[in-house]
Amino acid sequence: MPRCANGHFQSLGLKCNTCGMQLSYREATSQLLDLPSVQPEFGRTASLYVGVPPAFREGGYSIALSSGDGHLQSKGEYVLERIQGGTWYDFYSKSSEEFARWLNIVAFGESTLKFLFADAADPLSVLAVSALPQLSQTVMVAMTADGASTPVEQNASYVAVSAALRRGFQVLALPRYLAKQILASEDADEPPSPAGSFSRVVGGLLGLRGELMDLLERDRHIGVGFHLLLPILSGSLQVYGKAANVFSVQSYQLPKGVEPGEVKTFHTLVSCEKELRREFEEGFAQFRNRTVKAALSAECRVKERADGGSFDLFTVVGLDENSILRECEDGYTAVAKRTPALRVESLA
Amino acid sequence: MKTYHLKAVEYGGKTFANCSLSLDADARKAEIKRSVGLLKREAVLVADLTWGLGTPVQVDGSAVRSGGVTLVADDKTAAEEISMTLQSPAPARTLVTDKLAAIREPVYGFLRKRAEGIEFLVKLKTDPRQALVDVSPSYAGLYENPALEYLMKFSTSLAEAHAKMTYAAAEVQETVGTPAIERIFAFVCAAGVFQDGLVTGTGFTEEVSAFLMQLGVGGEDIAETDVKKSTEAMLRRSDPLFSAVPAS
Repeated sequence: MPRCANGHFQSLGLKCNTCGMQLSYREATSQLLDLPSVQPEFGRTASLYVGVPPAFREGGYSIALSSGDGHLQSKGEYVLERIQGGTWYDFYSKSSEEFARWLNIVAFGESTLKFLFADAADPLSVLAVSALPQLSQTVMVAMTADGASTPVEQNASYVAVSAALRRGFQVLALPRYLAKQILASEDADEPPSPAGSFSRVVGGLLGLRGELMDLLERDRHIGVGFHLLLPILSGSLQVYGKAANVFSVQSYQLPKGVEPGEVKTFHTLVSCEKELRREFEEGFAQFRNRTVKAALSAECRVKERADGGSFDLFTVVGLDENSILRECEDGYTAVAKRTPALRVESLA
Repeated sequence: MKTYHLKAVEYGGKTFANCSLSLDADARKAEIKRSVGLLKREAVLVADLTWGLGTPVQVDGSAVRSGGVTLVADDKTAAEEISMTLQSPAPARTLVTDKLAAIREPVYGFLRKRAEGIEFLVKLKTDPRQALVDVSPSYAGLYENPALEYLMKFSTSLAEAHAKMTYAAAEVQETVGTPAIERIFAFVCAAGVFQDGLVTGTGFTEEVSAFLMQLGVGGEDIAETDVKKSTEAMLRRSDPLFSAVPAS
């Protein structure tokens, strides 16, 4: 701001409004050394994708990690030079710091809700988990390997989930066999694949991300950091009859060896028309009282939507973390025995 | 510098024959010498004079009279040429113009440099992650994020540009005068307020427009939203501030 010889400051003008003296601008130019302050708005949600196409439709920031013929880094894409025959350890040891630096550059951690959507069997999944900033409200939503996956896939999946849990991230696992079941019940325009189904699940989950994060953070406070994801996309009560049946069907989808009595928390997020709210809330209450009464916490949240008919439902089951790791343990061990670098202990 | 032969010079109550006159038009100085010695090879200073801008000059045939000096040239044409040189404000104006030109580039340099920082801030506001990616090639990890590091480095280079501008202004101020420098700095501040408005979203305000009118550089709206282009549009208006005006 210029000032006159009598020391009166004022905004742009030739003469002082107070005393009429000539204003001097010599010192005022020094104030131009200060630039206006800006508070960048990084958005509520940031998502990192590995082995699954980004769900751009749901908004928020997204970046995809992949490998290809050349190195590329941009706001929305990070492509590593392909390593022929590369294991998760090769990518992890070569690029972990570099990718963490890139996530820092794009301010991934500045968003409130942070998601890693990964095919855990992808060799890049471990690198992604390791590079994520260690911050609260970070969830790994993983399509995990199952008994039908190869030992190498099981090994990568086991290490990625273990790494996420060790770093304190919430883990929401969708076993590959469940992704295949979704596949069977959808009318996909594209050639069917578990990754395609997982991508649809991701889109649906992002639509309910605030509610989801709230439930997961609440579970974290009671010591539950691992969850199984049981999704139903475009479901219809004409098929299930009543809402309670939906949950009964889902109880059969628990991993082998997991009894309903082992369920620590049990939550459901439903996106449906207004008229179905009461049906789902009552069905959930019935199922809970009958089957998972011992659960430490149970809640059904319904988000009403205009389009009628079908519903999307995501049941999030809090379990002991070993329940999902058990499924991959044999494959993990078989590979780790032959190649010691492919052990969880190789992670820094 | 131009030299004339004078048949005679009357100065200080004396008359000197066969003198030479050296005129420095820019400095408005006249050096009068006369040749002495048997072979007239030695030049002795008769007078070293400085003409004021408003000093009256009269031509009478081949004689030029100004103040207490009469210069008798070889002919009427030479007398008129000497008279015009002494009377014309052009030499002073040229000097001022040259000095103003010398400050123009540092002023433009400062505002252009500032436009770079403003452009980054606008980007940081509208697409923060892309702004960070854009400055990432120079990110050395000295600060916790690339934006902070860029702004720290930028503030150093902006301060250098500012110092160049103020030094250049100080060097020419005696010649061009304080009011001319103040007008230029006033324009710089108006341009700075305009640049800040591109970040805050106020853009080209009525206040800036009115002030530019006061400075005589045109207050028409600049609707261009690109920071560098709009700064250039602002700079193009500044020509009157850098044109010659008699030193006051």
